[in-house]
Amino acid sequence: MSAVGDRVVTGGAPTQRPPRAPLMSDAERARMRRRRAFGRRLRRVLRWFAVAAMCVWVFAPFYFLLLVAFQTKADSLRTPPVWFPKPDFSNFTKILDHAFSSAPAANPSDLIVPGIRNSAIVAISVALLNVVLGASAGYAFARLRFRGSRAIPLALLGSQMVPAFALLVPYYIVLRNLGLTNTRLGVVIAELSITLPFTIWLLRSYFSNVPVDLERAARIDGCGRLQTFLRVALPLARPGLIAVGLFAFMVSWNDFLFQVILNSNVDAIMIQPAIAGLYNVREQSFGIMAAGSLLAALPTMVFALVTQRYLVRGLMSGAGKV
Amino acid sequence: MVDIELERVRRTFGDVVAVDDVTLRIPRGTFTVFLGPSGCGKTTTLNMIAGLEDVSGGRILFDGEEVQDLPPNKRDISVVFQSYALYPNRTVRDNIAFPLRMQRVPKAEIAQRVERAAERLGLTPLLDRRPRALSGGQQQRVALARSMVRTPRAFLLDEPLSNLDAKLRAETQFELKELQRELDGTFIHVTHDQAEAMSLADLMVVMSRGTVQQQGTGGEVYARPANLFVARFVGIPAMNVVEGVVADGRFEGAGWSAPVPAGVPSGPVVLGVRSESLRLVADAERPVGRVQLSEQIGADVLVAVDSDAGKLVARVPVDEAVFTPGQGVGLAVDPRHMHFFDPETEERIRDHERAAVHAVPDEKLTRTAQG
Repeated sequence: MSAVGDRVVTGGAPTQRPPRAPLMSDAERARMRRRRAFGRRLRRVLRWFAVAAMCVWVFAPFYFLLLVAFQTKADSLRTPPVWFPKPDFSNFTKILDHAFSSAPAANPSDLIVPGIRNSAIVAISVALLNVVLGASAGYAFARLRFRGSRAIPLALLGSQMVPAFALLVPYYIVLRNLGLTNTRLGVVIAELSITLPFTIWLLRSYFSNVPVDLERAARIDGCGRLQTFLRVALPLARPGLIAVGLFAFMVSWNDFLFQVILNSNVDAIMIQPAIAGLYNVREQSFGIMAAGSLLAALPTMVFALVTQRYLVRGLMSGAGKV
Repeated sequence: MVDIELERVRRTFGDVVAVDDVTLRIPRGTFTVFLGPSGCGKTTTLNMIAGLEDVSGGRILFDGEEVQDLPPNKRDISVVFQSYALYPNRTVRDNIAFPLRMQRVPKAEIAQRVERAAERLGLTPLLDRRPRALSGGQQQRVALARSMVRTPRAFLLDEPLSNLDAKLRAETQFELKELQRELDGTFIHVTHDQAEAMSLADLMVVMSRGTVQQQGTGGEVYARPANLFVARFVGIPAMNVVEGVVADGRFEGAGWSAPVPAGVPSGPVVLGVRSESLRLVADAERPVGRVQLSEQIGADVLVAVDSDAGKLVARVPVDEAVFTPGQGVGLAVDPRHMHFFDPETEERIRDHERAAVHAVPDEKLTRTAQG
């Protein structure tokens, strides 16, 4: 206890400290401990409630959607709602009924399956094009120096500030002049122009983070420029590529505005306008709408679940010095 | 293996001249070390040899053949980077195999050569790990294995030891040298550590501000530094430097007065003395300095002396180091161990050296600054 005294080098004998009076009695200390334990438990309970509240906030509407989708129409209109009904698939069978017949669509619900198919074609194309074009452009902006190699990415970012709504009419006019309204290709082009700037921006920063030495090593090891890009830079940007692919897919899958304006052709209808078309006040077809919405939400949910580990995991660690 | 020649090689970045008119001949099978402080252009020079950096002027020749316009993948050289630059998404095996795969070597041969390289560097148990799971020293060896697996025309190493701890660095240094002998390879090694350069180099190239200050064996550079920069940069502790004037065969300056070898021209000079050539005289009648501090380094003690010429450091064997701080001391130097530099150009004054061989008396120490 008298370490301070022992360490004195000059100036007489080591001094002894008087023993310190205890700050509190045993009883006081026990009370403090109890109070602290109570505080800890209280915090834990509060935290649990906060998490539970957030879960309810997020999942309650979704559960209601499920309820409506898996109930008969009569049940779904009951007040108070039946919280745990016997599942009923009639809404889904009605949607899927028409899917495998070649007869022209008679009901709005017949358009859901073609809508899903068209949306899938558009969204997957947009996602793939985003990855291919975004990766090459992003890599060029990250690694090459040319006139505009700094200004253009900023302009791309700036273009994101323009609300999509403002572009709607110009897009319509341009695509109509090109004869691309009412086609899936037209929608692909429109969605691409919305998503690609962000994709390029994101991948540019991904490629900037690939250590330059790795690419130099690849050059030394015998790669040309293209091989360096394909064999070294691209694999290291994989989490980024997956992220932008998913982003582009979701944006173009979930988009409503462009798809409803640029396309009035039933053959090229997309899923979101198709769902909107289900709304019919007189029929009160909420069950069909809910079922259609569920089907529309399914792919993005599945994609997000499957790829989340790529989104989170970074492959960069270990590339540089330790 | 190749002879490498640099002819008036330049590299500029805008207005900044990073490498200025470097001319070098690196014979095959030599261990060459580029030594210099950071920013001296040594790495830029290495990168130009590798092809990772364009030359702004001059020629680079491999065996007499111009290569300065070839991309790195056409030069068939290997580089070990300071950061090791291992591909983080590939296993050790794939990292080592990568250059062979790019050369389209048959699979069976790749496997065999990777095994051999791994065995040579003690990496066999680590072949299926990823770089992230290796220590710094192991990563360094993987980088080495990757560079030697395809027997390139030259091995370039860019400060490969600077991220290792001191003990590992010493071991690896030794192994590098051994590896070079074994492969009889042309090695070019870049470092800012003069001790490392000294122990590795067959040919040492000291650089500063983009130019070559001196080239020669480590021993030559140490014994006869070509200018004040080299004198101060090579050797630890740095060479003691005293400004003064030579007149009538004596050096006078900053409280020093000492005879100089015949042939040293009269006029202002800078006198350089290595710490091990500077003797301390304990019982001097008129001391020229006071002992400031003693610092033991292994068998010797570095004694710092505060004098009119600033701080001087003498290297003294432990059993002779009987100095206490504050004690006044005289200084003595063997004239044969004096280095003279021109204060204007900072170049070494060489006139006396041929003469000195004959003119200097044997072992006799000359006391300086005595009463």
